[in-house]
Amino acid sequence: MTTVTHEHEHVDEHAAPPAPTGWRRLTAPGWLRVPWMIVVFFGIGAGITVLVRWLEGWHPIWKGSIITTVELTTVPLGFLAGIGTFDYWVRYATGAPTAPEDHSGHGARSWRDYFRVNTDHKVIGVQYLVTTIFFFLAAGMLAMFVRAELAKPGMQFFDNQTYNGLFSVHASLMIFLFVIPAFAGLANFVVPLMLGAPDMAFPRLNALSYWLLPMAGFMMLGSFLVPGGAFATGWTSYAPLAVHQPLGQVFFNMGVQWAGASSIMTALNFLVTIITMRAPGMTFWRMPLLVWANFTTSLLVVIATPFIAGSQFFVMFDRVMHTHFFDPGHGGYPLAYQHIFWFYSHPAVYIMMLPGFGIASEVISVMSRKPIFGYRLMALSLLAILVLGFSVWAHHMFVSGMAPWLRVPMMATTLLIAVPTGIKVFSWLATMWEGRINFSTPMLFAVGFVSMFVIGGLSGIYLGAVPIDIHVSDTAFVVAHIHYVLFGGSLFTIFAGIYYWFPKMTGRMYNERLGKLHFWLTFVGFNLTFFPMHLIGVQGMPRRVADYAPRFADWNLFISIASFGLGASTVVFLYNMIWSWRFGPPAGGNPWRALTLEWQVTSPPPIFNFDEIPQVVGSPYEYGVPGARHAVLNGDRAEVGELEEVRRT
Amino acid sequence: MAVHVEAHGPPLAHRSSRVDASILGIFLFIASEVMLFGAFFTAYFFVRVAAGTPWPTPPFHLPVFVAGVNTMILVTSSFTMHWALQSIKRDNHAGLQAGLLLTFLMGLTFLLTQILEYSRIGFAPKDGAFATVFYCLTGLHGAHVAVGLMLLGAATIRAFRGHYSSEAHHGVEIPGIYWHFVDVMWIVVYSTVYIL
Repeated sequence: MTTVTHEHEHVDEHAAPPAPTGWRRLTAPGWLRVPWMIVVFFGIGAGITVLVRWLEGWHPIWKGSIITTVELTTVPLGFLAGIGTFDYWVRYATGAPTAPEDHSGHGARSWRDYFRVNTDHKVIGVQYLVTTIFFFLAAGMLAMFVRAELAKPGMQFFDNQTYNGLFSVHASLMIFLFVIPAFAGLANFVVPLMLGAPDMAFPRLNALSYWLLPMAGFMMLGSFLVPGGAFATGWTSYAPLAVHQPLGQVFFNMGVQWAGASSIMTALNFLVTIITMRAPGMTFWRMPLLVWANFTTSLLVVIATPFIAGSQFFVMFDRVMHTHFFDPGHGGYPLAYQHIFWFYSHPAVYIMMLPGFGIASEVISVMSRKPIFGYRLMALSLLAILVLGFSVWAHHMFVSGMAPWLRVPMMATTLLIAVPTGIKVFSWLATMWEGRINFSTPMLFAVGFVSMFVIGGLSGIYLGAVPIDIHVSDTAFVVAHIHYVLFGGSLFTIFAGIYYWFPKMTGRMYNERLGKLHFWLTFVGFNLTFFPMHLIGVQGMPRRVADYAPRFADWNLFISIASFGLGASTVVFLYNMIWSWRFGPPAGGNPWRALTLEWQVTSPPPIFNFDEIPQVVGSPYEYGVPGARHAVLNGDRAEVGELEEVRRT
Repeated sequence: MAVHVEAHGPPLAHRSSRVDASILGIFLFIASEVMLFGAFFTAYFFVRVAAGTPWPTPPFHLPVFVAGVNTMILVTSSFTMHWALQSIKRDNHAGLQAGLLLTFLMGLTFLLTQILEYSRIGFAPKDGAFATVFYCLTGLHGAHVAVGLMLLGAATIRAFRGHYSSEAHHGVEIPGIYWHFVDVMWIVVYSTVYIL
């Protein structure tokens, strides 16, 4: 780990290093080194496994399921070594002189640079977003298959195990490969700019965290190809069930490890960047709320994610080493899995939501031309959610047979979370109140988010209450709730963020008509799909079951048709993004007339963000306040002194 | 002579905290590692307290004495690590090299002793939940010792190739912090698994 220290004497960073020729192309970092490195690392993994089994006298020496599990660790390492994420560290560790930083791996000068290890946070942000949207489409496709199967009672297209695989991979990809990393991608692009920093604190670590991600995704998708089919235990993968599943299960266990490692490293990077690299004058109470949101989220990730890593290790050990974590016959404790899993995965729902709160705050304040209402309370309520989020995990386990005395305390803390969340919702409403609202696409998505998230929050209160939860456990009501908070909540804010920063990322404006069309199709399709699930859920329509009673047939057909419409709305989004990236009208530096720092530079921003680190002089949200400034750029220090005076008086 | 600064180079980031970025980074990483151990200790809690598995489950025994000697070795290596860091802060390269080498060798001794212990302990991970938790907690710690040895190895190689000075010794300090963490974590594992 090295900080951004740049030795820029006598180095022309625009001169790319000489391209390797001949055989050297095979040993230089890049896609040509990937295939043979993967073969080498495959050999290492298989060799170690065979050696250990031979030494211990276990038969057969070559066992497919064990080899596969080991290879899911070593093959990704081979890929990473091939593409070149470790080159600097290997040189460092062997004490070789590290090359002076020539910035050749920093910034994109052509589209090819997006397919290389790049240390520029803006390039990494775009890499993240494009990758996550790919997995979003894949996971959405799986949801279409699920709805096709559920369109009629009885078995249509898939057998039970395949159906379970479909919704398991759908949820895992959406959570681990779309929502969490899409927020990380947006924040990667925006946070250093907002802070007035030239890059993240650890650019090489940042590149490594990105490249871990596609592997986790392809691992989960690839589980469809192994004997026995994809992992089929839901995204929660409860033990002991998961211990006795076919081989595909390991692809979930290991995929989560890789995605989790990526997410921990990014979070660590955000925390260090936010703490040590703020521009002069950027106190904590002058940080934009998006930065606050990512600060809190990163704390959650660093503290909670190791628990899901632990839970997946236990399942894998039970499978591979025949340990007995969850086997009561040998002294194990089956509920341990759920406790450990939810100790991560409840905070994880805030990991999937808090950055969205940040995006909504930015968009709503800018588009309403008003300062954000209750700025400090908005920041503090994020911290309150962080703390409370660790005290509610067992509300996922009311029907699991856990200690009954845990129920009521967990119910109380769960309901308590409605308080900080309520503060945020009312602050957004108060921000919009009497504002000059510009209903552009990002604002539509942000407002859509507030309204849908309130519905999801209300059904969350129902589910937090023990008696109702017992009644609707494992029904479509839970499916409705999770989609109102994750689709209506997280996904809407991701769309808001993508539309809002699209001009900054590409330098071009998206098509507003298509954007609005996309919003309305999504909003209507979403409600038609998921609202009826509340109704049939309360009546007892089960979730995670391919077949159901004929009395739910009409609603299910309706939901399936609506969901296909919802799926089709994505085409509008894709068309708009691709077309506008290529042909959209130039957007200019600050199309939204926003105050935060990322809008004060050109679109797309210069390779090193700022010519000179800006001086921050005020709040980022003083819209409509005469003479208010957030920051002064390009060294007009006299102006800074004046503004500091104005602020003090 | 004025230093020529390239006009297009990146501006130096403003330092908004007295804490150094890499030191803060390693502490956050350790926080995350503590939580990973926390997950394993939660499993320990469920097996030993909630499920009431006898500890150690008869007829097995834990080599408390041998592991105690091993503990002493690891604790001593923390002191030599500290000595290495203090040496380089005073530009004493010989002290740095000796300290790092001793630390590395003691760490290696610890790891090899533990592998030997595994081979002679008389039970395998599959022999009930007690064995499971024993192997997983000590194994998780062993993996951390291995990672610590890799970091120390890199620091040692660099020290012998003439890197580091009183001005620049992050490359010693950061593996050192990690090594102290591994050491403290072992004391927790030893007291909960072997002694309690």
